Amino acid sequence: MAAIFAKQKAPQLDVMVLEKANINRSGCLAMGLNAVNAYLVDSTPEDYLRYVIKDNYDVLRSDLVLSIGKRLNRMTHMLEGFGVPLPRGEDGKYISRSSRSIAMLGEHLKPILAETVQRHGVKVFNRMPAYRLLRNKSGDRIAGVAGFNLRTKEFITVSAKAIILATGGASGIYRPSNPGLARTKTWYCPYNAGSGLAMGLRAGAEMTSFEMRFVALRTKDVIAPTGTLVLGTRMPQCNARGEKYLRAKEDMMGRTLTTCERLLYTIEEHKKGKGPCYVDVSTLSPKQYTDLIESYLNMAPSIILDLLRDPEHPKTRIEVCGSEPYINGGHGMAGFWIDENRRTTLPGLHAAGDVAGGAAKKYISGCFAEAEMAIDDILQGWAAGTHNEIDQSAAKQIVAELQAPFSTKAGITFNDVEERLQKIMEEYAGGCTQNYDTNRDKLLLARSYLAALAEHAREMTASDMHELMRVHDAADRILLARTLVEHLLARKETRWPCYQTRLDYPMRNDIEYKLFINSRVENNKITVFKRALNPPYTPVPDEGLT
Amino acid sequence: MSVRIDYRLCNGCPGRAEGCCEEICPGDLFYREKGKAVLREPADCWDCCSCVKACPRAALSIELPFQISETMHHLIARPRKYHMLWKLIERTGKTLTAYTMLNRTRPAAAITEKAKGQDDGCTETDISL
Repeated sequence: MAAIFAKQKAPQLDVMVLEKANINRSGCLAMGLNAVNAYLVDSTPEDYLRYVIKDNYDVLRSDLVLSIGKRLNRMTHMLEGFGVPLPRGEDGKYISRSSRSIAMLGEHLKPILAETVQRHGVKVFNRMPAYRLLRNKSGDRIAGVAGFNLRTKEFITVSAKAIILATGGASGIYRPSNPGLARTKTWYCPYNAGSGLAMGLRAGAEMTSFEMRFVALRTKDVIAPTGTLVLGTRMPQCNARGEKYLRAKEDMMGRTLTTCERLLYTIEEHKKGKGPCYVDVSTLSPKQYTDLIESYLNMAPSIILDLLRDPEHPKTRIEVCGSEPYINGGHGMAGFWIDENRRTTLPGLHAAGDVAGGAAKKYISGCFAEAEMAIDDILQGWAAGTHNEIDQSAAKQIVAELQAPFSTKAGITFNDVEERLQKIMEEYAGGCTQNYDTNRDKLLLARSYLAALAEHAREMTASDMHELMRVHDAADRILLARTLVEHLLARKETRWPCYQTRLDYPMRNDIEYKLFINSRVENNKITVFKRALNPPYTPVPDEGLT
Repeated sequence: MSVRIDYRLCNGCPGRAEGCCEEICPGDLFYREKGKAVLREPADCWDCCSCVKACPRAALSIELPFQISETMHHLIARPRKYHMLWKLIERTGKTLTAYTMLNRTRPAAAITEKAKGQDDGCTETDISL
């Protein structure tokens, strides 16, 4: 999307996309998408900001959220213009699922976007993942990236005057909720290793809010979205006794629940012995049930195999559970610390979408909005003829580093390392089976185990290009996990239940912790510090956090 | 298993630098061996159906691991010009249900063609070859 904006606004520029897979079907949206979850139906950007503030328990960058809110609807209309069908009711208005969500027939979203990219004359390089950022000769600006081509087996460096990272968040850090052959039935794309975040960390960029992990409340086993059920069909969520526990909570509290509360209270029902919890769709008419199936086919088709085990008697109680935690800036707000122009703290580098932090609940339209803002900022400062050449000797060294797994002999595989990583994170850093809870002593253990793992993981072996990619993905995941653990240690409160629960500090502490926890790698050490909530964001050093 | 490959239908996409499934898979999980597509590691499959939709021979479908569902139904998707056609198929090969869904806004010209009764590419022919 950033490439499309760049070409629309400045057709003379040379724009290239480096893609880990194939842009026709890559990343989170490979399956498609059945709703635009950030579209303002009869509400204002300020309403959107108020909602996100409340849902995020006051900690967020309101400047970022508001700037996104102002563009959400235009981004959605652009998508429709590209040819993605957004169904309309008889009144000619979009079919809304809530005041911020409209239905979409988005099965072909990625291919349609990819065609638009091609039509605008963007150079696309598929199967070319990037793993390191490169600096210019004077070392004061990011000037390129290094990676490799999975098909031609070439190692590449690319120099560019401006770079936008839109590489998504990270999955695969915690143990998946299904074992064995079903281990990648995850909600977030299992091929998103958070390499953009790891690249930034390695180059010294400042990150924010990793401790606000994103845990999705999803259908059990196949981990398909529940929004499709709850928003799409308006069916209630019940416990095993048929009690509408979420509605009861809302009535009791006199307000709507936040996203993490819906997960928290589901877990509490289980603890009370009232599980499993499910969405009851027994009252849907056959036509409505077909609509539900069709909606899922556009976004998470495998759930059909579960719902229609017996097509004569489709499932009417759809069990829900929490997914494994992810690092994600599009639902949660973990990612690069950016300014209102989507500049990262590294000159020459912008971030947009799931990789950018500070603003939760962007979803697809908000991610596109960030891409546009990044492009606008780049074009504003554009000076023709200036050079931004990469430091070739440093680049050579980095390419050698990327090739290293071909020559190690230890025989440690990426699978071994990822399983170990997931075990540590699951058991000590609040995974799904721990009800997302953790405490200081467990986190300290996680810290030391991860340090040992990182040391051994240097010996990971690759025998072909696919394995080389997986080895680098695994290494990136370890770095992100280590940063995440430092963030979890630093937030001595429980701000977002389940996303971030410290059993040793079970209450929200607005006096000391209504702020951001940020981090940066300095001298091969992860430094964690606090940042005040409002601009100008002066760092508040806290000794003993490193 | 996640992706089921029907080796009677898969011909390895001869004449192409990459097989269609190999080209599209977001996880880079396919390669070709002896003229047939091979799934590198079934446990790494996300069930995204990208390969199922891309296969020109309708040789691919998805099924859930036995651990999650013992029915062993499988799901196949066939692209049409403006639609995606889905079929849920039983172990025996019998089609249980089928769905057709719009996935691309039909240009005004195509709507006129449809009105005139001309082919707009969304005829629903049999999906097996």
